Amino acid sequence: MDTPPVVSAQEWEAARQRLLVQEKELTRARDAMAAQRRRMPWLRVEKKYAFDGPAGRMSLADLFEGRRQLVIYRAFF
Amino acid sequence: MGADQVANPVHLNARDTTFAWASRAPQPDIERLKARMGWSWPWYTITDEWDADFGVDEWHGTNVFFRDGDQLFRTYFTDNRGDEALGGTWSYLDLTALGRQETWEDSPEGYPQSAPYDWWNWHDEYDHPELAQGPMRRARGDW
Repeated sequence: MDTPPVVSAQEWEAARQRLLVQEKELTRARDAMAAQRRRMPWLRVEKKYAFDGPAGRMSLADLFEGRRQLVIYRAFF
Repeated sequence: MGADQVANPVHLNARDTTFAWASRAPQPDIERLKARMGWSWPWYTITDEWDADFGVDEWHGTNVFFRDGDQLFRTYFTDNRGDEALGGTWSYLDLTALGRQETWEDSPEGYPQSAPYDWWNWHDEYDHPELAQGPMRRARGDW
């Protein structure tokens, strides 16, 4: 395994600061991407879908549990 | 594996957001797996073409919907590597139409926003504020 050089504390901190500049750019880019997501157009759900839950049949609207947003992951199980 | 990285959904709930899973297995099988794995979020059984209509009939994926009264809208979808980045509360909120709902965010005019840190809470205190030890406890740095 060919690992990076071992350096002094001062050099290590300088390297960390250089990396941090790029990391902050990435963080800001991620924030900007999320801001673009919030401006994505919306698609109206026209159909009525049915799901089975622990207490029986439910609509897609029921899955919100009264809240305004639903994040739903489709698992393969 | 993704399931074991899902943050406690009560923090999403505090931002008007519900987290759920959907798959084709019948409820008894899902309930057994949830109990075995200790997963607490709602997990529903798909009964119709919902998966095909929202791009998740052949591969896993995350859809985000918005509800305005009884009107529903699809606002976002990701899958593949996009799903790998998810699991934390902020990662999910960043996908939603309303975002983290924090004051520093660049959001459309009139979106709900409050100060970051202020809305964060112990997971059992959102619904049970009586459990809070009061501001002095926080100020003393006991946590």
